[in-house]
Amino acid sequence: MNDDKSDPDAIPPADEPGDEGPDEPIRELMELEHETSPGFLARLRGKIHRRSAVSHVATFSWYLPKVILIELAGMLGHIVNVLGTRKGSER
Amino acid sequence: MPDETEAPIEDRDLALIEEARNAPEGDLRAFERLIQQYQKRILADCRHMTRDEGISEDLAQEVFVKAYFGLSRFEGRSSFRHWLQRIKVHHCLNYLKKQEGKRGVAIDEGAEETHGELRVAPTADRNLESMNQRLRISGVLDSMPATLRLPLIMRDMDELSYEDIASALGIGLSAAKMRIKRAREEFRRRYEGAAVMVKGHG
Repeated sequence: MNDDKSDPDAIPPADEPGDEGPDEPIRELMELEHETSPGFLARLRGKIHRRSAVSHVATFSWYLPKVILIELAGMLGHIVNVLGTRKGSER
Repeated sequence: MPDETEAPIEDRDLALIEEARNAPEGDLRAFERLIQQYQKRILADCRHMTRDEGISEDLAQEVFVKAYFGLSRFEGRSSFRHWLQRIKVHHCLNYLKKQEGKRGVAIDEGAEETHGELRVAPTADRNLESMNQRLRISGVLDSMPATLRLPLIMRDMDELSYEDIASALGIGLSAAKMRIKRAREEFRRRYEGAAVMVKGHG
C-alpha cells in the first residue's frame, strides 16, 4: 500500500488559471494538540536558567582576563615610572 | 462568535512579549503565560515531524528556549505564533538531518506500512473517542514517508506559506504544492482505512 514510487518532486503540468494548488487542508491536523507532561514548564524554566548562567560565565570569562591584563599593564607602568624617577634623583 | 471582551490573540501575545522583555532577569512568568497557549500545539508538531515520542518534549522545550533568547529579535512583522512555528520547523528539520547523518538513512525513505496496526478500540466515551482519534491521526502520520508527512504538517498544522515550505525543504514551489496535495490524498486514504478497521473491530 505504501507504494509511493512516483517521484514526489515531479514537476506538475503548468498551473491552470485559478489553480490554487492542493485541495482542502486536513481539518483533523489543524486542531491537533498533545498534552505536555506535568513537569514540562519546570524543566523548561531550568533550561532557560542554565543557559542564562552559562552565558554570564562565558561573558565574564572573556572580560576577566582583559581586566587582569589592563591592571597588570598599569602596575608595570607604575613600577617603571617609580624606577625611572629614582634613577633620575640619584644622579 | 468571538468574545468581544477578550483581546485578539495577536494583541495578547504582543502584550506578553513586551512584559517578558521588560521583566527582571530570571522572571519567566510572562514568558510562561505566553508559551502556555502554544505548548500543546508545538509538542504535537515536534512529535509528528520526528515520529519520536521520547524526544518530542525536549525538542519542544528547545524551541521555547530559542524563542526566549530570541525575543529581542522578534519584530512583530508576522504573528508570534507564526514566528514560533518557523523556529520549530527549522529546529526539527535540523534534528532530523542530524539523525539522518547518524543512522545513514535518508529521512526521505518511506516508513514501513503500519496500516495494519491502526487498531483502535471503539468506545462511546467522549474522552476516549477523542484520544482514539488522536491515536488514529498519529498512526496515519507516522506511517507516511517524510517526503509527504513533513510538508503536510508544515502546511496544515503550522499554516506556513508554500514559499516558506519550499524554502525550508530545499525544493521548488511546484514540488512543494504537489507534495502537499499528494500528502493530503494519502492522509485521507489511510485515515479512512483506519476508520474502516475501527468499525470492523466493533
